[in-house]
Amino acid sequence: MANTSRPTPTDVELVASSRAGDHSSFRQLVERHHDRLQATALGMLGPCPEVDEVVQETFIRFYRSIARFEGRSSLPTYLTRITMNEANKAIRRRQRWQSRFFGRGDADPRLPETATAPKPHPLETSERIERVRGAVQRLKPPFREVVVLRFLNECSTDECARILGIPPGTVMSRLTRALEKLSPMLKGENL
Amino acid sequence: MNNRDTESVTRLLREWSAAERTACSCGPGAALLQHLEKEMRATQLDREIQRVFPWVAAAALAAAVILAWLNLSTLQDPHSHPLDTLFGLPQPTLEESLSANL
Repeated sequence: MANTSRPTPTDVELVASSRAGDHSSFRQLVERHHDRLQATALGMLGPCPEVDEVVQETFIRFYRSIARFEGRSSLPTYLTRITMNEANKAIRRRQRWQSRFFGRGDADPRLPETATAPKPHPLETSERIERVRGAVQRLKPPFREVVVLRFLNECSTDECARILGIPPGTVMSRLTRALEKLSPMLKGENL
Repeated sequence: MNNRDTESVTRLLREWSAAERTACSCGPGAALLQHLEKEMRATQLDREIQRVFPWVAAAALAAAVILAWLNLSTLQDPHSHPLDTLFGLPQPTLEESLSANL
């Protein structure tokens, strides 16, 4: 009996049929890449409604420019780059809003003040994750980006470099500095 | 920062990323898909308009040029009918026009 199951279409095939106006192909692309992009946005912004907005805007921007996508970089790389740009825009909007209402010197009121204080006792997993999340959110965006790409998206150094448009050496140095900055913030966590 | 610190931070980050990935494993929501569907339709309509627009603009420009030319030829010879000029029909002389009007 002949095998009637069709092979899963590749990203390139789905992009081509989306470009030709096939909505279901684009929908498949959304379903395929959504979770990864949402994790990227979540890592950059922390849990907030802006995460969904960033993911939505990423797909909208991609669809509008789908004719210009030449496939020189892989689709996940291309989409992650858009997500990073959108997340950074959201961070700048948030900073503007904070500086308007809280003044420039004030800390982000949503971040836990205890993030730098050592904890004497072992923490529950969820509490520990919350503290790591707070610490990552305290990193400046250039350092946060590499942490998110390296750990959340499991990108290689070269992939990080391609997504961020910086040399691989800069990725490595930013990662080292990010870990150095995180270390005192997470001191006292029971490992 | 020593190796032990690096390992500790790395382990915590791995734990955090695993938790975040789990939180983001539900796929796109219905609201997102619905919004994207609307956006796709709107973008497609825009593309259609952009595709058709040059032809419409070219046709409008051609019509404007023809009308201007007809007006110009009417100004040059007020007794000739614009359509006669357009279709190359013989133009009446001034005497013919005057006698026709009389």
